[in-house]
Formats: sequence, structure tokens, C-alpha cells
Amino acid sequence: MGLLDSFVYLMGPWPLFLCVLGTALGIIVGAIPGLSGAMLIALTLPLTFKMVPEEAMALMVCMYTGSITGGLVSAVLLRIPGTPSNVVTVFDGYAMAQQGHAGRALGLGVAASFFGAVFAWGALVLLTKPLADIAVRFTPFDYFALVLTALVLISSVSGKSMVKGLLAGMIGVLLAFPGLDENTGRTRFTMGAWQLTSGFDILPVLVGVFGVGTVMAELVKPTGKLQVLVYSSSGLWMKWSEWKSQFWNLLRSSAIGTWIGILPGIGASVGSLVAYTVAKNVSSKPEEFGNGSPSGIVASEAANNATVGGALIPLLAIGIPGSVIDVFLMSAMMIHGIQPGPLLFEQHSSIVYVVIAACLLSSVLMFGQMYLMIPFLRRVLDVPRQFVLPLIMVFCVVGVFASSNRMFDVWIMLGFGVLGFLMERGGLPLGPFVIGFILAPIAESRLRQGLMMTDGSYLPLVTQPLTLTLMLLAVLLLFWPLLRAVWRSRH
Amino acid sequence: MDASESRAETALALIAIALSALFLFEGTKLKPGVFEPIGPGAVPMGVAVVTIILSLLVLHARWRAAAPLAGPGDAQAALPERWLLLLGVAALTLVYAALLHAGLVRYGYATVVYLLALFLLMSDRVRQDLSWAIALALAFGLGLDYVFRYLLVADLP
Repeated sequence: MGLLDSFVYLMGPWPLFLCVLGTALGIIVGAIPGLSGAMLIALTLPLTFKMVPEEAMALMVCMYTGSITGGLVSAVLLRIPGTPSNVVTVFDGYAMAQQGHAGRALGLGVAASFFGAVFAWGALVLLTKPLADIAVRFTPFDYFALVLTALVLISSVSGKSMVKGLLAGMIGVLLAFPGLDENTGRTRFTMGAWQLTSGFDILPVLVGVFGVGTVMAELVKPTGKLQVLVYSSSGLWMKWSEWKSQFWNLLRSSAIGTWIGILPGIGASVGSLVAYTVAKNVSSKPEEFGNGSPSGIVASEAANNATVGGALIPLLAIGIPGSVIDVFLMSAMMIHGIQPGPLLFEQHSSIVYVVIAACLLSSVLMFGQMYLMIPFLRRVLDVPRQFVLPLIMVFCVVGVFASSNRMFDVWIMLGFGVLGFLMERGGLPLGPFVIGFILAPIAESRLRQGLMMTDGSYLPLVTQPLTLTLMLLAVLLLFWPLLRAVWRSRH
Repeated sequence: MDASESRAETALALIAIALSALFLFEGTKLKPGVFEPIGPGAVPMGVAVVTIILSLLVLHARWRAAAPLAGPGDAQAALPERWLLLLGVAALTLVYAALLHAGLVRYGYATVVYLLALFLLMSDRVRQDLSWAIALALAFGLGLDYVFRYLLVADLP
């Protein structure tokens, strides 16, 4: 199935229904502060077992796109970003809403989101296949170095402290080791529990950390009546003159978002922050940023939506997740028996093209659905937490149990829920943890494969050009905070 | 960072050290591979050592910051009811999971009771929310039982 065929496939009644539903659910969950697209996808994963992989992937891609944009609504009307990717939108979106222009702030955000998503889709179409062709030639050492660099990169940007980011990543890596060692065929680190023969399943871990952990974190947050600003639909549609005046901002922010999305492990929140900072620096009126500047909203929303398409590029081409939500897409592929990696194009091209087609379709659906749903979303923001959180807990339990038919996984999920809660309270980012958990087996297997080929010699780590470049990059990223401190003390 | 956050950070670092020590201990018991140079224990043991070093760095930073473990301005101290709520939800969840594990109650019935208990525990206006809580608990408890058992044909406890 090619790209055109994939579009035709997605236009069928059932796949189209799933795409519309997925985008709408993503928007709603993204709009509710405290809930995230990652959590929605984690809870949906068990329901996709009965679907064909193409339908499952299309559904999840639509949820992904919807959730990134949905957070815009609470950012503008509540001053609370619905998802971390909308943090920067709060600065100008809420200020503009306070000035009585909530409709315009939302309209600018939706239009910029659409532009960013379509721009990144273009990059996805153009870059994925060439990158996959290059990745097929990677040696095991190249792949090991790539995973190592990805882990260091995400650890260095996802939290306030790099040490905590690395610790989160290492805990994830460590917990990926129990189970059957594929090289020797023997179990290891199972502590005598036969249920751990195949290791910790992906689903209980993800649902525990992002589902149960989120519920626990929400429970200890102080409650209070949220003050939703008055919304008026005036200015909801972006005028032609605004498209023209914002064109370069849209283009630049989308390019930044796409590029940051491509970098392994870094998600939408960093993309929107960088694009916002650049837009402010090049603006002729930087003093307006933070006080309701249209350019601020446009930069942030174009960039965070562009990271969606950008982040899919390394996932589809190399099998390295571009963001935390991509970990879920990768898990979904693995659960459906598809191994992500450079050979994905050769072995499961239909999946690749459906994901690419769903990426564009979800952007179009998001654009239309946001305009239709904005008045309704105001009411969603008022849904009492005492009804939402228990339902999430029940979905977590039933989803995990139904996926494996064993209560052991439910207990594992609850354990990982406590771990996720502690990590969130202790300031350890969840991104490096899940990426470490999912990439560790690949990294270890490639290293051992490479060492078998070289009879135990580590020399290729420094003699192969790509491996060496990636290793140097990892070392540079690791010591970057130290180097920056030295440079600052001298200047 | 408030006291509960610094406690969570310290607890995590200690858990990571304990986990790493366990991996180091178990790793020494693994036999080396026949056809490969490093065997199944080398990488996990290396990661365990790095984890211990990082955990010690986190603990060191915490002790240097010397954050008070409790204080009058502590956000957590001001919200003991939220922590009691968390404990209540955790206890109910453990009982719910244990009941399902033991196979004593059908999934749908257990879920109705669990949901109703959680709705009411989290509500600060029990009387006003009661009718909604009962309706939602019945709809989702029995609805999920039906959907998973008969539509998705999954085994439920």
C-alpha cells in the first residue's frame, strides 16, 4: 500500500470514524489540565488489540495530534496549559483572553497549529524514506551509539537537572533487563518469579507510570474552582492580513518544531519554547511578548504541532522515538508484532504509509474539529475531577488485565504507578525513564552483537566515523552543563 | 521544592541504590555466554554502577541543599487531607485488586462498588453528587464488564 492508497484506506467508513473519534478524544483530553495524550494513548492501547495494526496506528496518531492542540484551550481560558507543550502559549494566550480577545487567541492558535502540522508532514514525507535507506546501513555499533546519544539528549533537556534526567533514564534501562536474555536463552534478574520470564510487559509499565501515576499526582494537588475566562467567538477565524503578517513566523517556527521533533527524545514542549524565544528575539516589538502578542501564540502553537510530524521521522526511519508519545506508538507496533526500525519500510510499508497519511488527515480533522468544539470544550474544563480520576483508575485495571489475562500485570502496573508518582514528586522526568525502558534492550543487543562480530574488541566505537561522531556528541552533551559553567565564569 | 518533594527525591535515590545493588548481586550469579565476549550480566551490572553513582549525586545535592523536612510554610503540611485522600484511594485500590485477584467477586459488581466508593471519597458534596455517582458507577462498572466480556471477548476476573 502506497501513500495514496493509504489516504483512500483512511477514507473508508470505519478508519475515518476512528480518526474523527481519535482526534476529538485527543482534543478533549489535551484540554483537561492534568491529563495528557500519553495517558490517553496508554489507556487506548489495550482496546486496539482487536483492531488491525493500520487502524490502531491511525487512531493513535490522531489522538497524538489532537492532544497537542487541545491543550491550547485551557492555556488561553484557564492560564493552565492542558499539556506541557502548551506552557509557552499561556504567556500570550491568557493575556490576550484577559483583554477580551479569547476568540482571536484561540483562532490564531488553531491556524498556527494547522500550519505547523502540515509543514512537518511535508518533512515527514520527504525525509523518512531517505533516512531509512541510510539507517539500513548502520552497523550494530552505530545503532548502539545512536541509542546512547538519544538517551543522553533527552536526559539533558527534559528536566531541571541533568543528573536527575540521567538517573530517570538509568532506572528505566535497569528495569528493562529482567526476563529472557535473547543471546543466551537463559532468564536473568527475575528474582525467581516465573511471571517475569518475559520481563516487565510494556503495557503495565506505561499505563502504571502515565495512568496510575498521574491519578496519584492529581489527588495530592490542591483543588479549587477553576476560573474560566469569558469566551467570545469574535476573531476566531484568522484573517488573510494576519496570515500574511505571520507568514515568516509560521514558517520559521514550524521549521524549528520539525527539527526539534526529529531530534530523538525531545518533544513538543522544548520545540515551542525554542520557537517562542527565537520569535521574540527577531521581533521588532519584543516588549509585546508575554502581554498578548499574536506572534507569541503563533510561534508556540506552530512549533509544538510541527514536532508531531518531526518526531515521527526517526520513529519510522530508525526505530528511535522522537518524543515520549512516540514511545507509545512504538509500543503499539511491537504489541501488534511489528518491529520498528530501518527495515520497517521493507517489511511493513503499509503501516508506515498509513501513519504518514493519518498524520495529515489528523491535522485537517483537528483544524475543523477545534472550531466546532471550542464552545463545548469550555464545559469540559468544568468536569469535576472526582468523576474523571476514578474512571481512569478503572480503565487502567481493566485494560492491563484484558491485555494479558493475568492479575500479576495489574500489580506490576500499580507498582509502576507508585514509581511514576514518586518520580513526578521528586522531580525526575518520566520521558528519559520510558525511553530508557524501551530502548535498553535494543542498545544492549546491538552492543553484544557488535562485540561478537569483532571478537570482543571495542575499537569500532572509536574507529567507525558515525559511531565516533555519535559517541563524541553524547560525551559533549553529557559535559555540556560543566563546559557552559566554565565558559560563563570566564566571560 | 517542598518537604514531600525532597522526601520523594531521597526515597527514589535510595530505591535506585537498592535496586542497583540487587542487580549487581544477581549479575554475579549469571554464567558467562559461550559464544559472546561479555555475557548477559555485564551491561546490566555496568548500568547498575552508573545508577548508584547518579543516585549518590542526587543524595549529595539534596543534603547540600539541606531542605527542611517539614516546616510551617510547607505546602504539603497545609494539605494533609489531600494525602489522606491519596491513602484512602490507595487502600481501596489494593482491596479492589485483591478481590479481583482472589476471584471472589465478578468484575462488574466489584467495579460498581469500587467506583462508587471512589466517587464519594473524592467528593466534597456527597449528598449532591450521590445520584450522579450511582449512575456513573453502574454505567461504567456494568458497561465495561459487558464491553470487554462480550464485545471484545476478553476474559475478565
